[in-house]
Amino acid sequence: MKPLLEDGSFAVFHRAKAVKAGDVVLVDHQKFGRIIKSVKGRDSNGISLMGLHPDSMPPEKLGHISEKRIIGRLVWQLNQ
Amino acid sequence: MIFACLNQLDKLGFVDHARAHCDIPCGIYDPSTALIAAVSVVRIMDIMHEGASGRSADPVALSNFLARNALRKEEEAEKVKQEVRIIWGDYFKAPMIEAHPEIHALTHSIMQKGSACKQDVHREDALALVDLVNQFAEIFWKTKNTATERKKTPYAPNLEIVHPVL
Repeated sequence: MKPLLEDGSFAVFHRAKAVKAGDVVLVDHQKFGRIIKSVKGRDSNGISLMGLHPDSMPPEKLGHISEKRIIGRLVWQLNQ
Repeated sequence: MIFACLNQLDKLGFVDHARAHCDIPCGIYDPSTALIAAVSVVRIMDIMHEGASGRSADPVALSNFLARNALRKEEEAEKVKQEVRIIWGDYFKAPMIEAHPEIHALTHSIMQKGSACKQDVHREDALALVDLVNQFAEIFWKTKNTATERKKTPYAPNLEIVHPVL
């Protein structure tokens, strides 16, 4: 999630399920575990995610997640 | 100050961890590993041919020598195939493939030639493998708008391999 988050950054999340495109969220991903990604959008299949870096895993590989997998929305971060 | 405090809390186990890397997988793709492995296949074949004659009087030593080198050749040829498969399968995206439609046939040729190198000890197959991987590397660096040059390896078998001009 560079340039927003670097290795070792601290981040605080608000426990919220209601997210919109552009929000940075902590999710319990069905394949990749606990990860932080940006919300790309929402459609009938669920919520799609994306990274912020050009080399990030593409949204089609991240797949869709259901709302219940969202742990929280980023409200504060601190990089070293 | 805040970061240091948070670090202490983290060390004490009060902070949950999550992965935020842009790179799942890592996003680091480089054909140099495949090239070095391809050159290694040539080198191992040379060692097998050169070393076998000196051990012909001792069948056990000869078997041991050939078995060891055949195993390493197998591993290096498989590494070529694996590295190329990953770049072709994970790195190349539709716009790159449109710009370089030959990448599919080239990758397939590398798979075939890599297998030929595993099956036998024909040096011309190994040289062809190096040439194919060089072509693959040139296309790879073109997708990054990076110029390339071919330079001889400073070690045997002293073959030209593609390097990015950075």
